[in-house]
Amino acid sequence: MERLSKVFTCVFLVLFLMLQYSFCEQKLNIVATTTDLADLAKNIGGDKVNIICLSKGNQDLHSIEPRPSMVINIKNADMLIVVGMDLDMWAKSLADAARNSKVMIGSRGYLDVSLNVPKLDVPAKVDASMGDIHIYGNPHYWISPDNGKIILKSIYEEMIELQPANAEYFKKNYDDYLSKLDQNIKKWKEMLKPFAGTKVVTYHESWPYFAEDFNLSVDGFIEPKPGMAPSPSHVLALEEKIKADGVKLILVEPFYDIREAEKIAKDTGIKYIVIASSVGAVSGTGSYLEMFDYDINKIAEALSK
Amino acid sequence: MHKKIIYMLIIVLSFSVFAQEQAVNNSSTKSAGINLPDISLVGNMIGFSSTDKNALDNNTVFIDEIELGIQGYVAPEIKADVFISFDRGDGSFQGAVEEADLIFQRVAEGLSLKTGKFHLDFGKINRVHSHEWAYVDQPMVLNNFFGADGLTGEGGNLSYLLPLPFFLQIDFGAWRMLADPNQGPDDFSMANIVLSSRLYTSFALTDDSELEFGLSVVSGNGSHYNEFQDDAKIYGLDLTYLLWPASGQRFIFQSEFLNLDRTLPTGELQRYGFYSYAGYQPDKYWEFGARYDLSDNPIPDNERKSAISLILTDKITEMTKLRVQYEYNMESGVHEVFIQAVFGMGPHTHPLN
Repeated sequence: MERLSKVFTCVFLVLFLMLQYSFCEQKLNIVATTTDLADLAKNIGGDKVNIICLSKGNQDLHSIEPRPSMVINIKNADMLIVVGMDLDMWAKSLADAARNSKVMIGSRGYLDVSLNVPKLDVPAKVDASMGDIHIYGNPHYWISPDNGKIILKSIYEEMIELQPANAEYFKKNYDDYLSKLDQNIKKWKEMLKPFAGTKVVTYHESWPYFAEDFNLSVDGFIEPKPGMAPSPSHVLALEEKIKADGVKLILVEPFYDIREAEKIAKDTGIKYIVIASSVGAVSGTGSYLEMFDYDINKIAEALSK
Repeated sequence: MHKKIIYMLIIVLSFSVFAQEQAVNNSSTKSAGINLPDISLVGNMIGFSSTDKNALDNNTVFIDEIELGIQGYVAPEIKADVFISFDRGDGSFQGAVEEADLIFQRVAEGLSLKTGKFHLDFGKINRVHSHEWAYVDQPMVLNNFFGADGLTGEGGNLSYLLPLPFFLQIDFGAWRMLADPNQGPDDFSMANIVLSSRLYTSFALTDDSELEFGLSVVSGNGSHYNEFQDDAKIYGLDLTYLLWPASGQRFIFQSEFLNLDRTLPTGELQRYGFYSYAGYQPDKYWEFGARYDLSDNPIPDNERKSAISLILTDKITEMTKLRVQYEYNMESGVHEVFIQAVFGMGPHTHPLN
C-alpha cells in the first residue's frame, strides 16, 4: 500500500510539473540570418524571446554555406527573420529542409525585413555581365541607421502579431530602443557633418545606404563588378581615378582582401580603414549601436588627420 | 520528338523572359517574380586528353551537357523542379528529362514527400548534379556500381526529420529504374523495382565546423535481370567534415564507401569501393583538391582499379567556373587531363545536400 502511494505521488508530481510547464509562458523562438537582425530583435524581445543567429558578423553574407545543423534551429522557430533581396538565399534551402510551416516562405512567421525599405541601385536590366548583381536592388540596406528604424518597426509589428500577450512589453522596448537609436543618429550625423561630400572608395558595393545617410560620396570600388576579384588593370585604373577625383579614404570589410586596400592606399597616398558591415564583424561592435559608433568614429578619425 | 521538345521550350522561355522583364521593370519589389518560375541554363564543356590512345573522346573538346532548369512553387508548400538535359548520346545531342519532381514540403510535422523522376538520395554525390561536383568526372565506385548517370529513378521518396535536438533525417523511397539500353555485359546499374533508404545526421562540432554522416541502401534487380536474373543490394557509408577557418575559406574532407552484393546464376558477388576527396578553398574564388578512388568491378571477373586526381578550380562566379583535373590510373599507368568550363545563367537552386 505504501509503495502504491509512492507511485501515485510520483505520477502526481510529474503531472503537476507538466501542467506547470504547459501554463508557463512560452518564449518566442526567433531565428535571424544576420547578427544585425538578431541584435535588433533582441532589443525588442528582451527576455520574452530566444534568439539564434545563423551567421557571424565577420562572414561574407553572400557566400554562407547552409549547414544541416542549422536546420534544427529553424525547425523549432516561431519566426525567421531574413535580409531578403536574394542576399541570404541560403536561408530558403534551410527553411525547406526544416519543414516548419510556421516559417516557410509566405507564412506568418517568415519575415523579410527588406519589404518596407526604400531600395537603392535597383537595376533596370540584369545579366551576369554586371557581376553578381541583385535584381531587387542593393541588399546592404541595414548599414544605415535610418533603415535600422524601418527594420526595427517590421520586427516589432511581427512580434506583436505572433505574441499579442506581450504587446505592451514589446512596445516599451521598441519605444526605448527607437529613442536611443534616434539620439545616436543625431550624434553620428553631427560627427560626420564636417566631411559631407567626401569621396570614398569601398571594396564591395556595400555602402550606398550608409553614404546616403551621412552624405559621403562613393567614387569607386575595388571589385571591378560586384563579386568579381580585382584585376591588376582595374586596380591601376582605380588608383588613377582616386588621384584624379581626390578620394580621401578606402573602406573595407574584414572579410575582403585587406592587402588589396592596403596596396591601393599606399600607391595613392590615402588612408584605408577596416570597418564593420555587421554586428560583431570586428572587436568592439557587439551591437547595432556599437557597430555604427565604431564605424563613424573610425571614419571621422581617419578624415580628421 | 526532339523538335517538339525544343518548340515547347522556346514558347515557355519566350513567355517567361517577357514576364520577367515586366517584373524587373515593376517598381514594387514585393510583386517582382511572383508566379514566375526560376529559369536557368547550365552548360558543361570538357576538354580531355589521355595517354591511352584508345580512350573515348581522347584529345577532344566537347559539350558534355546542357541543363535547362525550371523551378518554382505550384501551391503553398508544394514545389516543382524540372531539369531537362541535353547530352551527347552516341555522338548526337539528345534531350531528356533528367529530373521532374513535385515536392510536398510538409505532409505532416517533419515529413515531406517527393515524387517524380529524380536522383536518389543515396550518399553525398548521387543527388548532386555533375556541374556542382568539385571534380570533372564521377568517382570510379559510383560509376561502376550506379552506372554513368548515377542512381536515377521514377517513384517517390518520403523524408522525415526526426524531432530530436540534432539533425537526423530518414528517407524511404520506391522506384522504377530503366537500364541503359546501351549497357555492355560488363556494365552494371540497378533496374526495375528498387527500394531505397537513407539515414543522415549532422553535428556542428564548433561554430566553424560540421561533421556529417550517412548510411544508405538500395535493393532491387540488376540491369541484366532479363538475362541473368541478377538481384543486387548496395550499402553506402558517407562521411563529410567541413571546416570554415575564416570567411570565404573552407576545408572539406568527404568520403563514401560502397558495398555491392550481387546475386548471379554463377553465385554471389561481393564488391566494394570508395573515394575520398579533400579540398581547400583559400578564398571564394579558388579551390585546390585531391581525390583518391578505389573500386572493384561489379562483374565476376573482378579487376580492382585505383586512381588519384589533383584538381584546381577557379570559381569565377557562383555558377561559372573553370577547372583543370589531372588523373593517374595506378594499375594501367594511364595519365589523363580534363579541362572543364561550367557556365550558368539564371536562378538555379538545389536542395540542401
